[in-house]
Amino acid sequence: MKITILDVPDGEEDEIIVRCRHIDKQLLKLIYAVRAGQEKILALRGNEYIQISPEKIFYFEAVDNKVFLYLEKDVYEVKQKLYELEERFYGTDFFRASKSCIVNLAKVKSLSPAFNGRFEAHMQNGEKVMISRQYVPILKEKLGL
Amino acid sequence: MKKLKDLFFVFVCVTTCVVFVTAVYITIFWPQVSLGVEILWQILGVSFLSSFGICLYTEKERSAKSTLVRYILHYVYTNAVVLGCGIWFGWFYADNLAMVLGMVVIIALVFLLVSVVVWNRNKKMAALMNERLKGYQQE
Repeated sequence: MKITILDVPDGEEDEIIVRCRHIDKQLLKLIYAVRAGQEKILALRGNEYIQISPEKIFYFEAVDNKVFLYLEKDVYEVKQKLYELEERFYGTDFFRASKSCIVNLAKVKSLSPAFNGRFEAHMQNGEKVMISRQYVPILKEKLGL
Repeated sequence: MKKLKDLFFVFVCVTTCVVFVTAVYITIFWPQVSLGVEILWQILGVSFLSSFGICLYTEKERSAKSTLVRYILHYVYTNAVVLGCGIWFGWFYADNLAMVLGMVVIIALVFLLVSVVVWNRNKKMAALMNERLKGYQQE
């Protein structure tokens, strides 16, 4: 693929134009990654709001009608619903692992089988997240299986 | 389609294990009896009915406790099918404790064997997924 970078005059907005015959999986992933990577997530801890880059997030979890995002060591609350985050990160490294979790595949160290068709994701920070039977086919598809 | 594939996989595993343990059971309890072709159909029938136990595990997300309860129910269902059919087909005498215990042990053995086979299948899948995961993360 040819990559061309053009200078734009001051005051004009940066723009990415994709010229292609057809959009393949890899290109689609790139587009989604650019789109999702540009926007930071607004997270809350106590009274403090901070912006977090999606690539730093390990996983999102819904607990008692609240959604939390987990970084390597810290936990923040986010105001979006889990399904909204699922839509927002569709086509990126994030995937729905269970009814209450969305996991960043880029932060998964390894996968292991769990009881009765479920799998466990061992995260790079040592945490474990359950992948329910229902969502295993989605993960398999994401991994090209 | 996936459920059918799973059902077929379990049916094949159960049938293989049942043929094996039936051979052991007959050798111990019915050594002098010559058996007809109907025993093969009976084995296939019982294996088929037993395989339906996997329908207890739906795709719906459940807690670990609920899954464990279903696993126990699956075991109870398997016992009911095999013991019920065993009495119906005259595989053992219900009043002969040694025979009944023999059947119970055999059911537990087959259940365990099939569980191990299914676990190994998932372990292989996890290994393949880990391989792909490395590739995915390097992209």
